[in-house]
Amino acid sequence: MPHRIKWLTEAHYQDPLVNYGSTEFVLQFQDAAEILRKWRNPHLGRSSREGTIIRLANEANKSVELIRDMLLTTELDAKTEEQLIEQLKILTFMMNYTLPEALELVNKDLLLTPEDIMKFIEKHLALMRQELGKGLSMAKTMLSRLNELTDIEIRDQFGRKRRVQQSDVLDVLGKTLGNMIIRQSSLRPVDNIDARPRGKIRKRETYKAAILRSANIPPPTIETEDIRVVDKDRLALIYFIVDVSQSMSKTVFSGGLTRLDGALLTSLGLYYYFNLTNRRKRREFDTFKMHLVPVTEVPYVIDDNKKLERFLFEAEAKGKTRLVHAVNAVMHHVYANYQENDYDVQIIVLTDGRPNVPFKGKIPGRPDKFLVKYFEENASKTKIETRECMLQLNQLFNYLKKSMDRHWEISYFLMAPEKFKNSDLYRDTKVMLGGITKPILIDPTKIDQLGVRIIREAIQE
Amino acid sequence: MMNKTNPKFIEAYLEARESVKEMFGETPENYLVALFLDSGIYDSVLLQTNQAGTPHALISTNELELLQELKNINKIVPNGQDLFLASERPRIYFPASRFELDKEVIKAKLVQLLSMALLAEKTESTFPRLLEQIYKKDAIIKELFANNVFELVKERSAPWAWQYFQDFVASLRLLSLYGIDDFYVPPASMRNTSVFYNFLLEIKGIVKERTQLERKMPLWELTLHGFGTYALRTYLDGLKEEIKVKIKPKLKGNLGQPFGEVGYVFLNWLAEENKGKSVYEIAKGLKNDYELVKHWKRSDTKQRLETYRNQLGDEALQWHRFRNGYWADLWPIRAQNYDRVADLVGKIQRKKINSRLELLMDKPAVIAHGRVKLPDRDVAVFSINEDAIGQEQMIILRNHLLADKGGFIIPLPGLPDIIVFKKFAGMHIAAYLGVKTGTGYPTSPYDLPLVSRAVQVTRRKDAYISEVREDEGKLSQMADYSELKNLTEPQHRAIRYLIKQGEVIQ
Repeated sequence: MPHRIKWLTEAHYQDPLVNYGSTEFVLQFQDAAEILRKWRNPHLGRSSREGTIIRLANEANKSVELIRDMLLTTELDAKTEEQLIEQLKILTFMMNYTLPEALELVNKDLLLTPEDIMKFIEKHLALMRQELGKGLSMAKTMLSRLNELTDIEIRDQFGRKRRVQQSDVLDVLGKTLGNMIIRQSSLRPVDNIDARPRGKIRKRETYKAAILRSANIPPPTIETEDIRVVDKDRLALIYFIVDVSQSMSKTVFSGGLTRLDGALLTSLGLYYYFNLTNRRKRREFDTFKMHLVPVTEVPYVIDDNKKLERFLFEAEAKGKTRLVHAVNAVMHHVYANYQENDYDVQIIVLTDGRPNVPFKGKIPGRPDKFLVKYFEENASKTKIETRECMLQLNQLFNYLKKSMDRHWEISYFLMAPEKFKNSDLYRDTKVMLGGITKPILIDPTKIDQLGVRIIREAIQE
Repeated sequence: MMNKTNPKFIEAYLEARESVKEMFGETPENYLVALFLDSGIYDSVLLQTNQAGTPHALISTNELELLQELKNINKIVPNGQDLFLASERPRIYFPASRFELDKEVIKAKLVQLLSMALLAEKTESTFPRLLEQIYKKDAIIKELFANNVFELVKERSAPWAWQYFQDFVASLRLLSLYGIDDFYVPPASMRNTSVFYNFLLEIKGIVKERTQLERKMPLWELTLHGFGTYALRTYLDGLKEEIKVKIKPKLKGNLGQPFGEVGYVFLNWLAEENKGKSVYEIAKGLKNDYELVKHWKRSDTKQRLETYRNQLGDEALQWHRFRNGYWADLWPIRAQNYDRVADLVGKIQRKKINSRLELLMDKPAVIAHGRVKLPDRDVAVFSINEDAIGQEQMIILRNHLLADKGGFIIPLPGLPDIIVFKKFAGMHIAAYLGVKTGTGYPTSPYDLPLVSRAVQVTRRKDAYISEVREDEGKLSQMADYSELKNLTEPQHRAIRYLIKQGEVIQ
């Protein structure tokens, strides 16, 4: 072995193209919330969309250079050579026509949704067909990279950038928010037929059932029949009641977020959660049928998922808070459309807790005497019309809860920061919802803490 | 380890040395043949060296991610190239995957590489000596980087530091190469603040020395590669016809390469005119490429190159094609590269260019266009046609201005807000990058609230539609554009548009 020859392995010579800075990037709940905020505000995600196009152009530029070198220096078989030449032509076309146009459209906010991008790609494929002729399979894959425009850029705690897909984020957000709903939904005992219990086991209720059966504290054993799981298998109707009144446009959170933003973020998260569950069930029908009722002057029901999603992205705050009207509209919608099926109904109210227009028509059921007395005896800063609305809401909710024809569940989300818990309004709302549900306070800017809270409560259970 | 070396390779290597001795009367002695066991690393080293000049040079994360993607996902690596570093101690890099080739092919490749090594050892040019020094500087930077930053990441748990230093070194290297380094004037007190800043200042010094070396470097590639091609072609001519026919198609990366072929033309031409002197002696005496090409008129040169181009075309048709391949498409690419080098020769002849600095400054990739003065801040305008500096790297530069004592303490003063022009094939982009002021405590240099926009620079007026603010963009009306220079009309309009947009977003 001549002395001038040396072997180099990775131990002697580290790969120079190693990325030292890459440590695992964990998608946190806070990141998810940030991304939703970006979708709500097209200005925020904009520079990253332009960045995507610049990156694609940069890559195309370098690719052209390397492919040319490769064709001239490296031994290739005829097929690879042909492919590379095709790629070269497509890249040149993209750099000359496609990417400049894409950048211009992004600047004018005309290339936002996957549909826009799809149309754009179709158009350019047609152009390429005219220019380059057949064999455009390569072009399709390359143009499909433009779909990255819908990805959003987020930063980790050190500010380093990562791009994430919409679906990744929504899974995280939806799962966490969905847990809160599940905690409020109905339970069922496990059948003996079940080979193993499916669904989320509720430990406290299971324990209670075991005590009742064995009449011992602590119960000596826990049998299969004691186990209580969340009943998710029944088909259920979901009604989001989203408060879009003027009071929701008030900026309460840091970072310029309004209450409306909070409500829409939360409902988006929940919407994606139910969508996800529907997908995972693999049934012929969707387990959860979703509706949305905006709190407007004349409440109406949106029952098309596409329109619903669009509404959540585009809603604006205006008008008064006719919460009772909206709940009433839900009731009528259910009775009018699902008279013959006893589907469960889950009403999800997202509001700032300030209803201010009492309902003029007839409300079924009777007012709760205890609540009337409570309002009379306790001085509070809550406005009179709000109190009246609360009485009506309580009456309506109670009626629904007690009705025998089907199972009604109510979740009440309050968009406010943590300090709202000290206010009279929060106390009143809590009393109003007594025996029906518990209000859940949501602060989107502290949404990571929300995740922590959920985990903590789950452990305590 | 050693017994992994293919006996075929050793044989070919020893025979190649013999052939070189026969051809030129001596062999190179002080060189290194580095064999890469993992040819993946060879690919990386090849890409990196083509990008940054030496195998140890740090490249910015921008380039790094790009090359990683092209290598690992798109699998576009021109690994038929032989990597040769003509430093004072010449370095030949060879991947183990080449052992599969026939012995004759390996031998031919080694004859070329060893001849180039011989020239690098014996030449009168300063090129190899300077390259060796640059190589060492890069190795020092890399060592400093690896040791210090590793400690920093471990002790302070700051994973951004890797990226920061890579970007810092790469951006600084590029900017100071083009003479734009007045932005980095560190206060002397910084050195005592922490090891971190001390390291930054140390690196800055070394990078500056490195760029000074690079600016001194003569243009010598034509001579070097021309000599390599001369050696290979002479060697091939001495072979029997049947062996030649067998190995020539396998030498795709060695024959017909534009730098080599054009250099070869001139070396032969010089040998024709200086009867009695061998090509080797002529090549040894050349200090730079201008000395190689200065002896002839433009018209003669053009004609000579054109004739050789046709000859090369015929040869490419004959040797470098596949039965079903697209040779008709391949020759134009080769010809285009050849023409580019021929144009370079023209430039060298006309402008009497003999150093790398002169070539760089003839059409610089990085230009500073001056500043736009706004009432509350400055916006610096640049053209940067280089892969090294992207948005991430701009943040680094931008950060150096924010010597915000309360928050993340930035060591050096730097740039104000920036507008950068960049050209790709059909695109001319203007990008604005700014930082919002008055925000909280950043945890790293990357963790800053950014304002950035990009627009295509075009003659069409409807491209610049901007949203008007309620105060009708008072700031942008008060902007002073008088200090800008060397800009076209569309570029001016893009700057105005971006400044207005920056205001809208802020």
